[in-house]
Amino acid sequence: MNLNYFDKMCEPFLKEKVALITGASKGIGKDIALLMAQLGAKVVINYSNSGDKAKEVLKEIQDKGGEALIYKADVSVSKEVNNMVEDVIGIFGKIDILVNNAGITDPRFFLDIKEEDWDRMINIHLKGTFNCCRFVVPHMIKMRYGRIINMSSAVAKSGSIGAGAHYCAAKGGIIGFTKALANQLAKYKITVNAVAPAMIDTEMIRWRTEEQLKEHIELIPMKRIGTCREVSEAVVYLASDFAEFITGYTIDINGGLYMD
Amino acid sequence: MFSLDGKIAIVTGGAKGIGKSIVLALSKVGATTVIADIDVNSGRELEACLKQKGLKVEFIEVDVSISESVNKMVKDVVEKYGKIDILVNNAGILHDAQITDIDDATWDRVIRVNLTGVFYCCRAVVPHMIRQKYGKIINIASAGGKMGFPYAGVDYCASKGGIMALTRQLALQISKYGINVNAVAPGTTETELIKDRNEEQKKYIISRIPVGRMGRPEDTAAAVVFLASSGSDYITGETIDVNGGLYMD
Repeated sequence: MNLNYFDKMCEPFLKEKVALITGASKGIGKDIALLMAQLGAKVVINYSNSGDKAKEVLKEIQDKGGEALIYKADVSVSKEVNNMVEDVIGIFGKIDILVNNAGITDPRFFLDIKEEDWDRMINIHLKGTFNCCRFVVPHMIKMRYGRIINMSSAVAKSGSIGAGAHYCAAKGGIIGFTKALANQLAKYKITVNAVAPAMIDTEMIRWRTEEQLKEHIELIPMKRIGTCREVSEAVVYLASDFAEFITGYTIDINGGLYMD
Repeated sequence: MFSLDGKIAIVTGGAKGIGKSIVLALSKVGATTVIADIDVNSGRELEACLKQKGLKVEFIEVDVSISESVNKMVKDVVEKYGKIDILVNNAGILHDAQITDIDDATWDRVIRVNLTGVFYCCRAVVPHMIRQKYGKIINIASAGGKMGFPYAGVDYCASKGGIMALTRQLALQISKYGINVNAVAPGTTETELIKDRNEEQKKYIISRIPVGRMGRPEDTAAAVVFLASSGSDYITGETIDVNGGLYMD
């Protein structure tokens, strides 16, 4: 019995790790960045539009003595992702952890989805995840180490009346992609997992009225929506060395709304 | 992030194997951990060893397949510590067999220890957790409860499948009290439970695991720490697979 295996759990156990988090200027992505930095990681805060918000995240990390940088790139544009990854490798030398979190919401009934809405949704969520993995994975293979965490959603499993069918499709595709990548990269000591949150307290749920929110909360066994921290802790667990035997798995973070 | 300072935890089957690693993990992150086991010798030995390292542990003898024994153990813990924050239902037995080689007594025993034991412990602990408006219950299931599993008997797999269904239903019933009920489903793990398997069988199992090795007790123990900590506050009715990619659902 290795008596010291768990000692690191009470220390900054992401010390010396470099983490790239897409869509980290707000919401869940921001909290993942903050928590990883708190636990010792060097963090790359990717954003596509909200430069000011990204700078705020950077400042918050640096004020607490952490190391980070911000980087503008649209994950759906492969050239921008390519440049981002090359620049990050140039600065930090490696990427240990990739969190594919960037995403948008577009709640509409199925027949209201125009072709450009569909393309945009698939491009940002699914192609964006593909783009980032495509450029980061070769570096992880060289290191024989990697942690990839993809952002799915409860609605990928349960279907949803509120969320768009294109959103559910993209988030569902992410689960299949996660499993395939997990199988193919396991031999390089790279784990690939996902989290599937339901209603979390971020800007993304603001389109609902107070009434709609209340109605929805009634359906949740825990009778409340989740916090960003309740998602980022799961992401950090998967990114840690303690989860080296978990791969191809999606953690449901939904207050009991959907159980499989 | 993983700190369990001030928490009181019970780990059934905590004297050996995965349970022993869970006891070590929980106590390392600050919990006072009760090693609840039928094996007095191993339990007392572990208690002494960990106490010497400055960890807060205590051994209490229990047979999880007997409800009076479980009720007494829980009563003793509450009397001494005033509360139970974390219950890890880990006690379990495994044997490899074809269905026609399983007699009535063996089936009953496996179901009693693996599944009924979980029921007895949850039933005894839940009223206290409701009173506290806080609790983390973590049940140790198995990949065998989800997939066709090399070698194990149908009794083992049925009991582990039952544990996951119990986990979901209990989660549904008591989450409004602020209690999280989840499970961990390890794949094949290097413990005494599989000591009768030969090299060829072990090789076959490893060939089915993408990560390229069997599970270690600490892999599951780390998942238990995650579920026992604030990290699981919005997670309930969930089973975390810790199986190296053996099975993905």
